[in-house]
Amino acid sequence: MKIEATLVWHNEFKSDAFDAVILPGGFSFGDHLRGGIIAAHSPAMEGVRKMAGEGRPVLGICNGFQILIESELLPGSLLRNSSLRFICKWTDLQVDNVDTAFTCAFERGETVRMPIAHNEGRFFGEEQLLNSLTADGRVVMHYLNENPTGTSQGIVSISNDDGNVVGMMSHPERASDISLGGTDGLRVFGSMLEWMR
Amino acid sequence: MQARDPEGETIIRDLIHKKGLDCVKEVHTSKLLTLKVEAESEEDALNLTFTACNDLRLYNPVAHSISIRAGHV
Repeated sequence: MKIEATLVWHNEFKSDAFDAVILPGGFSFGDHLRGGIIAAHSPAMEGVRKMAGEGRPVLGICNGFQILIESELLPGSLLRNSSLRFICKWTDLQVDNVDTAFTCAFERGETVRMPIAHNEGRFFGEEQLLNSLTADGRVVMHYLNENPTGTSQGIVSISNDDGNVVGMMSHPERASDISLGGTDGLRVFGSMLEWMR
Repeated sequence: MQARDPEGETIIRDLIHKKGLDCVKEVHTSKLLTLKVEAESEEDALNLTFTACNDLRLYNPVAHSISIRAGHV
């Protein structure tokens, strides 16, 4: 798989030069106030918002997912895990929606393995939002066999209506080489290439 | 549907009720931000703070509610 990637500084992002954008995991601004809220107001997010609106693939992983939520590019909320602990572990996930820019290379209903590593990843939404996410097929992945963070309906990943904006608490980049323990995550990036063809 | 507040649940279950204060029925934790605002009046300060809280999402509108009070410095 060949993808030419460039690291972008949060104060400057010329989005027209890119086909897709990935907001990675980690921490931004110390996660002060809430994970992702301060980064959501970064100048670079104007470019991300533009790309999302134009249908180009936008993926938020972990802290990146929090940023997409706080930018209101995705709905809902990511609260502290119900255990109030940072959880780092491999998890089994079921792929529910394959009509997105980051899951189109998967089979619907397929089980995949990817790690999570976060403190604020308990997806929460009012019942109305959860119902509409399910009805519209916007739940992209959910936990299988367990719910380590207490997230609503086991949700670990959601998309926007068009499927080009996806947020996930799981880390595909940490499941992208056999030496890391798995390769299911690589197909997230393979999906992105397939979507853009 | 209210978001679970595991910290509040622990406080009431493992401290308040264990000490026999069964009259306490719920505990919810919250975050307090104190803003020092320059404004012509208390009303202006409240309006500005309310706008900032909503526009900048200083609170989480999906899971939390907000209450704003003014006091003179």
